[in-house]
Amino acid sequence: MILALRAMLFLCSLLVLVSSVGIMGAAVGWDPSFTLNMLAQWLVANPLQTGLIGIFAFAIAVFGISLSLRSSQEVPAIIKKTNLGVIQISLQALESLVRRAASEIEGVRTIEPTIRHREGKFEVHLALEVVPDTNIPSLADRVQTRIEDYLAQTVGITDVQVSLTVKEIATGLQKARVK
Amino acid sequence: MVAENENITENGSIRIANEVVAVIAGLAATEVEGVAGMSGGVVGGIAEMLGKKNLAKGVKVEVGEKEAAVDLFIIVSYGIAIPEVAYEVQNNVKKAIHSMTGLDVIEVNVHIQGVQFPQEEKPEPELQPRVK
Repeated sequence: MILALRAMLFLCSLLVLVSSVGIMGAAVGWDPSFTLNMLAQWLVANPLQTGLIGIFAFAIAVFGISLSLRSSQEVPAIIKKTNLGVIQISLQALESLVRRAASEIEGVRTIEPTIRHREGKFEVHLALEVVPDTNIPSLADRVQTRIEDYLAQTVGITDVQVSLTVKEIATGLQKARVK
Repeated sequence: MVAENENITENGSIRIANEVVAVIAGLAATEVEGVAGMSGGVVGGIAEMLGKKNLAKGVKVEVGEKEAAVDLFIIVSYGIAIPEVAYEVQNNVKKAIHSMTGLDVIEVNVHIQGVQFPQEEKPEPELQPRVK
């Protein structure tokens, strides 16, 4: 699937590239009528190849359009079953809760959470950008505890595995020049 | 949605449209504290932008002759205990539908689609004179 997507993206980009070079060429005085005429003649002279190219291009276009219109099939997590039905939460909602909870911890600058739900167990992975001069092991401990406590308290989830990666140390922070 | 359930009484028949049950469920869900709103998807959002108030937004119902099943897609407020609020929503919706239509609600599934965070009001910084 990913290979097909990449191939489609490559072909579309190549087509746009060739067209853009042609358009820029026409803008600076190149006359495309001869080339286009040759292309048209070849297409008319080779109906089989023309038909195959047409079908291929049509299939790519339909595939691309359906892909762009497809909604993301996110599987929600069931957090509770009651006598009245189930209570489900989308992973997107969980991610926003985790992002908020982690952002309240001193030393954390940005968070990119990823949550997976497998066989009733939640796996939370956080990619963090932390402020300089932070004790990272201590920060990681605080973040893990905070997320576990927060999810237990707010969502009622207790079986959570929190892993994190410090992907960057924030360098954009400027110290005040004057006290 | 088309009226589907018809209750025949000695004086005639009573029909309750699915839309009516959905509106009752939507209103009952949103009156629970902690529910920030309903999540109605792209179509519901466009309809609201065009000024059409959709009270059945984020509600799917299946209505039979005597029973109803409801799916609610809700957005909750930040800081609440989600399972407790969701359970309250289930109870409130069940009660409202039963008392207004007489239908037995066999299932109320709550889908939490998002969380609404309070908008932080940043006080405008007072401009201090640079020199005394």
